[in-house]
Amino acid sequence: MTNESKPTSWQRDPALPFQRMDEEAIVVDPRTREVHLLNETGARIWELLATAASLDELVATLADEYEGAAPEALRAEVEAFVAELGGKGLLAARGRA
Amino acid sequence: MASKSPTELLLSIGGIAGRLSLGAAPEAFLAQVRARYGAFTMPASPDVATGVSLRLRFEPMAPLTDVAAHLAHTEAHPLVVKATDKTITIKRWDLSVRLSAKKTRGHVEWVGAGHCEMNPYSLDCVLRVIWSVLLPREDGLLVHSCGLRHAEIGVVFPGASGLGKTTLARKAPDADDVLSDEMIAIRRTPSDGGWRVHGTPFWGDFARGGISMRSWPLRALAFLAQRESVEMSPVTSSEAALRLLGCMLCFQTDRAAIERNLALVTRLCAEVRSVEAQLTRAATTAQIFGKLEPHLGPDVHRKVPTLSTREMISEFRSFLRKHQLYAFSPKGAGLRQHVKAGDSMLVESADKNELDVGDVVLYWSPGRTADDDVLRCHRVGTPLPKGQSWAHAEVLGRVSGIARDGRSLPMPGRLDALARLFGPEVAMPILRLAGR
Repeated sequence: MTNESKPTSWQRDPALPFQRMDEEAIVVDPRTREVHLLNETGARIWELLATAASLDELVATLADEYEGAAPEALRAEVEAFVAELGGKGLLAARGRA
Repeated sequence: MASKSPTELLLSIGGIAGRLSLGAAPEAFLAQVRARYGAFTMPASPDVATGVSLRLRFEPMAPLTDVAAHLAHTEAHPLVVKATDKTITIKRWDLSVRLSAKKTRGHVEWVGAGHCEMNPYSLDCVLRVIWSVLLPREDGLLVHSCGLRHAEIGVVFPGASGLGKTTLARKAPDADDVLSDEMIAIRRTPSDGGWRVHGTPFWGDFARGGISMRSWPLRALAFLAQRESVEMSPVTSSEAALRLLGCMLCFQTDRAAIERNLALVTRLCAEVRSVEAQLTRAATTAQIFGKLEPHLGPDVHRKVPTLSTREMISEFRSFLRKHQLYAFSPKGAGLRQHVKAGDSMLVESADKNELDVGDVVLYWSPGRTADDDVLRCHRVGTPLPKGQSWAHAEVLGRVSGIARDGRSLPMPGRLDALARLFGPEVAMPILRLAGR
């Protein structure tokens, strides 16, 4: 049986070195020697994930900061982004719903 | 014939000096080593402040009798580099080095010993790894790239294997403008915060590296890409940093090293223009630099001074090796007794074994730092100044004359010195033969 429950919150791996460059951010994973370039929104989410945050919290914060973004589209994008980073091992999942 | 005593090489790569004490090895191998690193060596003076001092023992290459077993051995012992603030260890199937940090005369020197197989690849690997660890601690980095000097500036073309680094080097109209086709050192200058590109002795299929320690102001990072037409497309700082991290030579995986490298690369890419250099196989350097010109900034032909007297002397040595005869306007106290302000000194290449008594030679006397190095004149047959020794100096050439007010004068006193040394009975016939 697989556990299909989703994490309730996410937090970035504090061991990963990263550097802001203008609006973007570069994250290095020493374990895989991969380098990730995050765009402006991705860099902002990375910043927010310094402390554990749920998807709802991330979407609410970003909706405040990016006026005019459609809530459903924003949620879908944030969810996909967080899942991608989580899949690469850059984020730690907290709790399961 | 094998050397009995250690061979000492004092190298300077990317502005970091390193002392190598090489163990016994056949003279043919040592000659190969001296030739490979010759442009980056300086007189092995104990006064020079070095960043690293390594005693390296050579082990004979094991005969290759079982290829499968050899491959299994190499796979089981890949390159592993560990570096902290106190130690650096480098291990691979064919080499092992351990260095410890020591505070020496106010700076940190990495001192240690190790061994490697007696082949140029193993030795080159040791040096590349050491400099890849030390340079980031001094605001520098080694980059997989082709480096070219263009007018009075340097351009670095980073790229993975197969993207055309050696092909680009081979296109250079003058091979001496190639700083390396494989590995370039980039370093931030503490005095002005600018970035300089340094040639290295680490080459690829071009089979020759930089010709001197001379560095050039870095004006552009041009990331190599093979395309159907020649174009230069600007890339953002963050995209450049991403690409440059992929080309930076780094074998460490610890957080401190990666944070240091990341900070260094992002700073470099924020301060230096970056483009994607889309090249074709047929593109000429004239075409390439024609397209690059708008991205290089102003005054690419404006003369820039060398970073240090060490760089200046090293470059002077390369000129002499290339042209055999060179004229320059000396400055500084080391040459003042022989020339006046405005004079040019004519120097011809000369081996120290073919000098005659009375010859005036120009020699390189290294000091503690790169700015303490001095170019001095000396008349053969007279004692060297107190505290100096030929073992710690390098004869660069013989002074053949001085150009003053548009006239060429022979070096004064060369034959007169014979009279002082051997007395008039021997010296006078020589002076008559010389028409004096």
